[in-house]
Amino acid sequence: MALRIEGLVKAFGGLTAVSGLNLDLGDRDIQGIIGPNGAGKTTVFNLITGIYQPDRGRLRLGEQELTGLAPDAIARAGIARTFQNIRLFAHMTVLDNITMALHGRAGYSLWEAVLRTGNYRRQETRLRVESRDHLARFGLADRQQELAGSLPYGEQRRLEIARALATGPKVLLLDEPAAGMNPKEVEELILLIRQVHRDFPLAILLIEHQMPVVLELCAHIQVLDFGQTIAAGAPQDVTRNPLVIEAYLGEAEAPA
Amino acid sequence: MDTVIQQLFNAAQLGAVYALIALGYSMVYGIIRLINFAHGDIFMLGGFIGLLLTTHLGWLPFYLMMPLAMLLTALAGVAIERVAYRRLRHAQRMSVVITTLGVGIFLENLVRLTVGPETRQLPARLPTAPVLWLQNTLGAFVTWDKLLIILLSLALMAILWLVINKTLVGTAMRAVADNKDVVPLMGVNLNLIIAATFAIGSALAAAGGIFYGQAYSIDPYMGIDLGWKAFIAAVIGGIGSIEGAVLGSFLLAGVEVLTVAYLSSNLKNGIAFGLLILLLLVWPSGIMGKPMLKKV
Amino acid sequence: MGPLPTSRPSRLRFWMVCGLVLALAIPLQLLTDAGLFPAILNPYYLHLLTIIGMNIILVASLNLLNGYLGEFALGHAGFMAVGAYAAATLAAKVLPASGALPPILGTVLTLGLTLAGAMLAAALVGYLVGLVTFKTVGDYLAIITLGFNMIIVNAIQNIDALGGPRGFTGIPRNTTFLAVIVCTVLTVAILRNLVQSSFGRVWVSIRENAIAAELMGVDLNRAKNQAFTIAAAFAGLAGGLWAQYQQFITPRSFDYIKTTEILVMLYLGGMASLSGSILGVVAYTLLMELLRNLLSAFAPQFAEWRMLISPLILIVIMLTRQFGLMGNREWSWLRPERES
Repeated sequence: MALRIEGLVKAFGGLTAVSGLNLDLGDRDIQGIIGPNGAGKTTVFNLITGIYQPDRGRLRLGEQELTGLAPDAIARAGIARTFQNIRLFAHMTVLDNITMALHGRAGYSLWEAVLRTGNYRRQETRLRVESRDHLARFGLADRQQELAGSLPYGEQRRLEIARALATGPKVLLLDEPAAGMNPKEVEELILLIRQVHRDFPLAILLIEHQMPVVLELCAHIQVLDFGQTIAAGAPQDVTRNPLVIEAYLGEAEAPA
Repeated sequence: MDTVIQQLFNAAQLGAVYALIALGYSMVYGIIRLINFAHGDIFMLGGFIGLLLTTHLGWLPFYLMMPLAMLLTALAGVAIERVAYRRLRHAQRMSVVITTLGVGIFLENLVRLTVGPETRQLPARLPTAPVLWLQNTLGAFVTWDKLLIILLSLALMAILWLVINKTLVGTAMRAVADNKDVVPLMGVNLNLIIAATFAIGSALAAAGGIFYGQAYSIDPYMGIDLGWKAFIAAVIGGIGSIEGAVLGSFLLAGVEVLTVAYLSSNLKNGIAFGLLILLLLVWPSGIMGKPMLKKV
Repeated sequence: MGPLPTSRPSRLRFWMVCGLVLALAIPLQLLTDAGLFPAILNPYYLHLLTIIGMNIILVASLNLLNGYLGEFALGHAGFMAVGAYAAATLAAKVLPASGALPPILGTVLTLGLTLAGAMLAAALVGYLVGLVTFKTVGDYLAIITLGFNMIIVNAIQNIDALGGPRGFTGIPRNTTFLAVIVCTVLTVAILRNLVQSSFGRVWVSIRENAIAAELMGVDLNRAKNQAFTIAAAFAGLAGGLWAQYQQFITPRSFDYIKTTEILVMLYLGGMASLSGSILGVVAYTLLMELLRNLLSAFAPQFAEWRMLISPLILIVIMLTRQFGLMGNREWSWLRPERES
């Protein structure tokens, strides 16, 4: 089991954003969390990544207890994420966005950096080679010297996913990756996520508003409404669940 | 016994001056999230405008001189906002704060070079006789000017409270403080509201400067010293909060006066800054401030 | 992937520029000391270059915090004060008492020891301030760092052993022009090495998006504190040089006016650019000297009015060129190797 969540609860003031969420994400799973706006989906990601501390409940990654850890410790434990509103290092080059993500495996000390020792040069060359190879896998090799903020939207998404993967995660959290994309871009995104799942040894948890993405990718989905799980299971069953249909009725987008 | 009551009056007088400055810091921060480091020097400028008016227009009675000085300082405050800050409203925060530092140093050097670096006394225009009634009942030696400074300051704060809570301008200010982006949609002129905030803040600071000159003395450097104290008071109270600024000011003045009276005057500033840092660590948004929520 | 582009010119050029600066500084010092060519090699020019060198150390190290890390630190003069007083104490009280040093090595050794002490003391204070400071966010960091600057100055004013408000006198003059230039070159080289390394990438990523950096596994407090400690150490170095150059220091010379002067030069040059830091210091220092000379030549009664010009320059830069002369750009010899 990669990620296990038990009875997660989070309230802001009087408002319960997440109440009693359970989730089991297997080592190679792709699962989805869907729900209308304000259902508490992003809060779940903020709880998993340690940005918010849960009021109750437990988080585990494999055998490791994550509950109560700081965000950077959780990231180092092997959870990486992307954001609904893309958060790249806009004024750094595309290459530096990736090389920065390798900081945990830089392999030299502050003093070696100050003195530019032989080891520093070797490690720095290795980091650059790894970063370039990594970018090439995502079709961004010829963009490496451009500023990340100047890329077109679709490529920014791609770079953000590439950067998250550069940390070598066991679990990848994708927060509405298809937000703001046209149908063609959505198709490319689905292919990209498939490719990521095939090429990297990890599990993917996906929050998505656009049903086609979830239906296409996920074997198991969970529907949140007002912080509660109202349905879970295979996509075909869940979308036929009357509770789910009702939750989505107020929304412009009914489930497909 | 009498000394304790006298110390309390000293603290109240100092606290009143701090509060008149701190309100300007807090109002501006509340409305445009700007730490206006030049505000202490606006207070200094107000004191010197008061000095110039009393020396050159000696026939002006105090109750006319003070509003005039407040008006002139308010104009200076509005002009500075217009020239130096407005164009930076959408720039990085750092650039604006740096600009306020520059404006502060500019004002300080301007006064130093034109009026001179000496410490000056504002000619006494308030009665300095002791308040007999207090002497007879409490046995405390308190002069009329001290009592008047405290009472007039409180009156100014009461007027400010009425302006903010009972007038259209005040309602608009509170709306801007809550959400700057929606206000222009409601037909409120944002520039006007911000200008009004600077005007009110500067006028109050000028009153503080004149009171300070009456009670103690003024010099071109006092903007840094007093401005910082008032700023600390505003932060202690929770910057952005009007009530907090007043509360923090009297609190800080109390601590300072007691430190000087019972410990050592050398420790005064150290204790003030120590208090600030300690408070920010345990209470990051001040006593009456709103806590920030991380948003992702 | 093919082989990496193996361009080395910028690395070579960097060391060539550094070497050139030193190669020019040595004869300059020797010739001026010998009193040759007094018309050209005026001690006054040497003095200006010395001041420029010390200011480059201050501004470049503050750039680490305000430019690369993107924090808003307003207490740099405080760390300079710690270094200055540490070096002054070592040079005037500790080292003379600890016995005679070999005469030729004496000055170099004394300077080395006092400067090391200055850096260490400032780094320690910077580290402690950082520990406290990074619990707060945003504007409050500016407030707290400026507050610490004032506390440091206030504390020195209350310590009689350091001369209190009257100042510290009788510091031996160990700082030479050459020593300042060597220190300046070393500072620029070390800061360049750091900002181009993984540590520098982490600092810039925090500036760009702290939450994203944290979720890439960056311990924000640790990374910020590294930068804070390093920046403080170099401010201490400048302070140590300054104390043994002026031979007399007072607490007031390290108050927030000094911090603001450092900020003016930093913003004039531009954020996150070492070239900018160098250019900003040179431009500002020369401009102020030019103004002083012009005013005292044509209107001596207004000589002091240049104090009004410096804040005005700052305001005008902020209003017209927010990123300074060189913001986010570098001269080619300061650029990372593979981008040139």
